[in-house]
Amino acid sequence: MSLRSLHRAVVLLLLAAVATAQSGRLRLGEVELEGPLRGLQAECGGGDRLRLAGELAAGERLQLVVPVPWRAVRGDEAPAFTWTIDEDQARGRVRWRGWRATEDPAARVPSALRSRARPPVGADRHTLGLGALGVLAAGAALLGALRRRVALALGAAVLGAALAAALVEVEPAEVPDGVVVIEGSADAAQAWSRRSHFGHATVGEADALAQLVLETEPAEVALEVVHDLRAQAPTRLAAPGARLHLCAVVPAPALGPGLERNPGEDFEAAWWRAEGEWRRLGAWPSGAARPAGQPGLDAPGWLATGLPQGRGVLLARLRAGGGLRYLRWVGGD
Amino acid sequence: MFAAALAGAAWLLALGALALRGGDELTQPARTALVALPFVLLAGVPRPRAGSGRDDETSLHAGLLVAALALGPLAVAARFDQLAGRPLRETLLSAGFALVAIGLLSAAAQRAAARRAGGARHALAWLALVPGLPLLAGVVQLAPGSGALRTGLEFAARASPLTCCWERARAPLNAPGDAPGSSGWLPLVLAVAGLLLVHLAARAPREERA
Repeated sequence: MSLRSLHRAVVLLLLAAVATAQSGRLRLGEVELEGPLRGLQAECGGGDRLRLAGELAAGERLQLVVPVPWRAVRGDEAPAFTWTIDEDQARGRVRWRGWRATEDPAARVPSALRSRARPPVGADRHTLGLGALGVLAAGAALLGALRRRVALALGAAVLGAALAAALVEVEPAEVPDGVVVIEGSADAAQAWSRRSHFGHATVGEADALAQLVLETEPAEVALEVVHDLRAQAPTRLAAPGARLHLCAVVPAPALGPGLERNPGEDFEAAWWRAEGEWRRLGAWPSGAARPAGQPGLDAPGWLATGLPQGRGVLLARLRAGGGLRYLRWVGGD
Repeated sequence: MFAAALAGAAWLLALGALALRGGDELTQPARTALVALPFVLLAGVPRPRAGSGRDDETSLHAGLLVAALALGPLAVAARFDQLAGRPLRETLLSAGFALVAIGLLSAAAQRAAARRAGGARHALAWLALVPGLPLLAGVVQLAPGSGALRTGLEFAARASPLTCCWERARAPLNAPGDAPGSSGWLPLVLAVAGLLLVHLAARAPREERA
């Protein structure tokens, strides 16, 4: 083998590796369907499941690219499809055509951007509250008073329990569901956007599946993907009790290294670190010069955590289109 | 009085478990099992002898009253779990079988206390089944090495209602199939443990029957 052909082989191998390497919990696969088919789903191991919503009539054919829950440990193992069979109908057919080779979007941004602290989105908290506590205490006292009349005591306990459960108080989550964080750096040509949800998320039309990297937290939770056969509804992702982070590469904000002026969107609130000192800048409208601000930092703890030392940092809260977004940008030295 | 003090202590501890706040959502315990823990531990504690001519009725009433006392905190805990996204069926099953176990454990202790003999047998059974097995398994876990003894004790410890509650409490919301607490035999073990204690306490020695 000549040096040139060896070189070509190495390049081809590297390209193949780039094409098939994958990060995240979703991977695109191609599947060929022939009706009649309904209740189609695929067990992907470890509790992961893909459900294809909708049905195909007899003789109807469809070729689909589907997002399949995937884990690196399973490698290229194909998902196992099952569907509901009607005995009085002809049987449908499902043919797995293989994984689609796509470029891993995560490879386009430095790993330092991707590994920054994720927002701790969570469900609303529920607390006992004084009302429920009072009912529980009154119930216990009543139970003591009625201890010789057991039937009555049991009735009172059931009523008290139902009332106490109904009086549970709700406390909104500290970090709201669907928060977006844009991670940028003076060193990177592109930024990394992360939309975080707790338990459930939808992937709308705006999110191109091929450009999406899904991270789950914890990494090994069971994931269910519900994908509409005819793409008439957004794809739903579910991992109860876990966080789902939908990540994508986005254009980097046009922020100069000095950050003297805000060339982008209005910042509802901003925080700036220079020479190790944090300053609260307050609101910073688009096009305006950087406010002098006050010393201190009142940004959310998770936003200001784990940032590189010795470099300028801008944290900003943006509120556009009804959603809450943050920008976390690390400048030059 | 002793039994009432135990029930009161369990109730206060259960309220403490309900009042727990903070921490990451991903590591929140299952409240229903956490609230059941103090009741499961304290409801069946062997108690001083209190003779009565109506053993069966007294023990049944005692079991029902302690279960009724646990009902309020368990209902609130089940509501917490349901709102946090835990499956409703699993939560209700945990709460229901915990109530049954609490009632049975309490009835067994009361029955044993009311009998002239049988108290020692109940105390031994309770000591072995409720706190003994998990403690022994914990001690063996600390010892270096592994082997059949450790595996066997770990398995045996799961027969304790205390271990079952503990494992269920620390089960993550999204538990893979082999995660702790995800096994479905908690209700069965809780009920069997309670029944066993009742049975042991109820068996009167020959001389008493004669």
